[in-house]
Amino acid sequence: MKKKRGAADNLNDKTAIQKHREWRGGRDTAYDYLQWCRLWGILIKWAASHPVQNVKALFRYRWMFTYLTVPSFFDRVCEGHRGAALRGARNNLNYLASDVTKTLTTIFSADMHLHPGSKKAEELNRKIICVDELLPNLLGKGFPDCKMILFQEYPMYLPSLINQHSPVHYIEQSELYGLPADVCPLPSFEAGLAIEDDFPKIGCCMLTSNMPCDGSIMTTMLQERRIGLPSQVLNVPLRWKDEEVQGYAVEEIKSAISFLEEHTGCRFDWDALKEACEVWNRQNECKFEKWDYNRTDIPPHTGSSAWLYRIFEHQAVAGEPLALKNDLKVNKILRRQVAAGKCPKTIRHRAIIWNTPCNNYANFNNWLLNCWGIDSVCEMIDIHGTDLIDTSTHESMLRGLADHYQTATMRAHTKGGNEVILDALWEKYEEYNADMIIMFDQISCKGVSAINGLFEEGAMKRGIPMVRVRQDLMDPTSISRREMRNDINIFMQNVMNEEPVDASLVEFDDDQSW
Amino acid sequence: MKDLKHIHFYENLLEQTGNDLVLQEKEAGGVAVGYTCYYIPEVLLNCGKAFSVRLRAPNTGSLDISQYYMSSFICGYTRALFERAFEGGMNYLDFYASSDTCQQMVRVVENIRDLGLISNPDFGWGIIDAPLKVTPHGLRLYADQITEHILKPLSEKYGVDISDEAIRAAVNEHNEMCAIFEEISELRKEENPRITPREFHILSLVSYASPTSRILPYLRETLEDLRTREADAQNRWRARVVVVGSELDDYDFSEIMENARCYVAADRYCFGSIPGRQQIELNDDEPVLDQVCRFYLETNQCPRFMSQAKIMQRRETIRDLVREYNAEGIVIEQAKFCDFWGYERTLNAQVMQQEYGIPTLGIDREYVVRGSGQLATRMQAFVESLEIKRLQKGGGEK
Amino acid sequence: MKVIKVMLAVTAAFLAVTVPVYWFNLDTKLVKLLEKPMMKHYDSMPRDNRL
Repeated sequence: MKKKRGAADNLNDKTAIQKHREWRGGRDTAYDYLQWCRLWGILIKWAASHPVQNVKALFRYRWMFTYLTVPSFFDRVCEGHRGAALRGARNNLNYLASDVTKTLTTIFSADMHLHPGSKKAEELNRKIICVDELLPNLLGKGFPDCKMILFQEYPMYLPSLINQHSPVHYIEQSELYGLPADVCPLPSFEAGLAIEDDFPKIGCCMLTSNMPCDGSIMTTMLQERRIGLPSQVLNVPLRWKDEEVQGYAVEEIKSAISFLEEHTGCRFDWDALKEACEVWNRQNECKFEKWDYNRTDIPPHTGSSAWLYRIFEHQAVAGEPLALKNDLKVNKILRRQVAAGKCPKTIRHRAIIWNTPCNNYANFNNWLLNCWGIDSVCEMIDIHGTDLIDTSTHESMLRGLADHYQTATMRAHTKGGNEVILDALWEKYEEYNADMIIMFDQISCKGVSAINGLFEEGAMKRGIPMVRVRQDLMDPTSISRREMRNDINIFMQNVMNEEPVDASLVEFDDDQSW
Repeated sequence: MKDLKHIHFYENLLEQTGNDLVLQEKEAGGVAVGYTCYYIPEVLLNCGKAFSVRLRAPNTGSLDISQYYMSSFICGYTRALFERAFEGGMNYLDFYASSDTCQQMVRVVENIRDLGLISNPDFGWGIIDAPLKVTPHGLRLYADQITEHILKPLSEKYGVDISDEAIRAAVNEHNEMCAIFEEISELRKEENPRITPREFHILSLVSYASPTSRILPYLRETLEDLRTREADAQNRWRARVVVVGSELDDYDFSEIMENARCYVAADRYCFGSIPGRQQIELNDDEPVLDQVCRFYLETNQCPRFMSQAKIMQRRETIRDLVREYNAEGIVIEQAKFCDFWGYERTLNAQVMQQEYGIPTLGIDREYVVRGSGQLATRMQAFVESLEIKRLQKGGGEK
Repeated sequence: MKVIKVMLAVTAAFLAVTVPVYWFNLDTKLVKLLEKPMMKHYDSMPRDNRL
């Protein structure tokens, strides 16, 4: 009998590069092709806008090479997608590409590493505010003449998603310097960038913060030595459920505003902030609509592209009209499919995915669905910054901003008390009519792994099938993608007693893939 | 030297999480308040009938249970505390005052709470948020958090007197204890000191682990003893260092230093005397709670403080201690898996060496250091390097 | 008419180039070829490693 061809048969061994792009049926393949053209249009336009500068950046920064692999990354994040899932993913990803390329242009135009001694670059830097990358930049909308850049986002966070190997060299540098190997790879990666002086040299000042965790606090102190900008700490309270800390949170934002006014020479524009907050509120409403659809039996937009977009949206493009435009377009597509009652995917399980996802396996959700029919109907990382901002007064906006920060990526659940991460899990399980939980066990995330046992016991008490997938955020040398898949394979075969949807995806070698 | 008065009594006290003095105070109606961190102002836990117990887990063996509940990459101190609680070793506690300033430590109290590990039916807890820089609004946050989550529950649930008068009385008693430590500390500056590192470490630990009112009489006698103690005829110390770092409640560490003939002239670590055993000066102009909170914020040496002012303060404190206590080097120790001190140790080991010109050794260690051959070897090597440097400077052998 | 012919020709040429590149994943494969020399370049760059 002829062996049925599976998705993995189209992958080159080790590199997992597709031999040819995915056939999704005529219509979806044509759509995918057009979106691929659109992506290349964005990339070519960006490259051609400042060719010399961009080539200089490519040769200067190791992490820049990762951005050449973006088309491949987008393919991986869209693996197996059909219909609204494909359309939603491609639109989201292409919007990200267009925003990221614009920001890279801003960064490289001002980068003193690329333009040493340039008066023009110095001038540009006077209006660039650098912030810790997990500090959402909605506050920056109140400085419309300035550009607020998430400092580590472009050299570190995005590359770690796009290419699993991009952190490795930098983590090695930080360990060679003497930093312990047990710390989370995210701060290690940042430390390595600082050690190698591989951060762009930009900005007139910097807002640092304690986001999201202890390791990030410490790596900030290391980085500041290399960055050398005037800096102020924006202390975001941890016990965010506590009403008593909100006054402090607001004072910290006021203090940050004063600091930024002093260093940029610009006055804070409350009207601009109000406008941005109102856009953000609408972006949030779009997200709520997506979640509503995911609660149905035919969830149209789940998985990697959903949470990747949400993180980026919350951190970098909250209050951006173009982001809202994209959201409205995508929601229209999803609405149409849900109204038609269609669901072009095989769903055997509705899973809640909890805890930090694995950057070095950003499309793990795709594999879960394609291999085992596990649809990620709700993910912890997707749920942050959900409170709408009251824009009626300055104080209420500050309060809303403070809340926006306290419930940011990796804060909304991992801080605030363990009930926030535990109780929320059981609630979401009911709300989304799930039938299993996939718990990421990020081995170097001490805040969450310190309550591993409570998760286990909670799931057992409720009779919920829960599988723990070990991962190390962005260090593939510590736990590989294959090992992560194996955790699921063992669970599905031995506990759930199931056969895969696509047997070719159960075991394959992609250790060298991006 | 003759054995220090009460030293064996102190050693026995340190064998238990809830030692005899703790149990005696409980018997007499005291409210046992456990805590782990300098972010919790110790003196405020000693108001009225409350008394503080800085939590330790002596004689920790296997950590299998905590490994299941908390994973193996969590710092040994927090796992040991959890394990001890699981074994029933903390049932004497009435209240656990914690701070969300270290994500590992705060999970201990959350685990204890959710698993119901303290069989005391009156058990309560409070978790504060704390700033990571010193500002007026930060002080307000700090003081308000302590009031809401620690002082008010102690008052409402246990009838602890948290009035200004009670706080002042607690400060007075605390200051008396600190005065003893300040005087004993001065002895460490001597060329041939009358107190060994191990002894000082024991005194420090026992003062944190026991009710102040009950340990004070013993400490007074120990001080008297030290005032007249004769140092050994021959100065056996080959080098003098300041030890800096994370939580260190195992005095075997100081014993390892002693075995290498390395004198710990100053102890700038958690559970050490700097900070923690300096008198708190109060005025009559401001609310006493604010004064106490400000004192603890300003003297806090935790690497969690992110402002440049605090970063520099930590380095300058180390430098000043080296000068004040006539040390030649610094040992920066870090509990394994401590994120804060992992980074601080790595960076400051380089900074203190290269920018301040002070020989520095950075080490990491398990929670229990007893029998650590590796630690002993590294200390020996460091001591030898300090001796060589001294010889090169023309200082001669000690 | 001429304009339409030109547009059709351009579209045809565009498709003739891009469709094979898309289908056979040639863009990714090209970047993969560049990876090794670029990493070698980064490894050989002089660095001032410090904090």
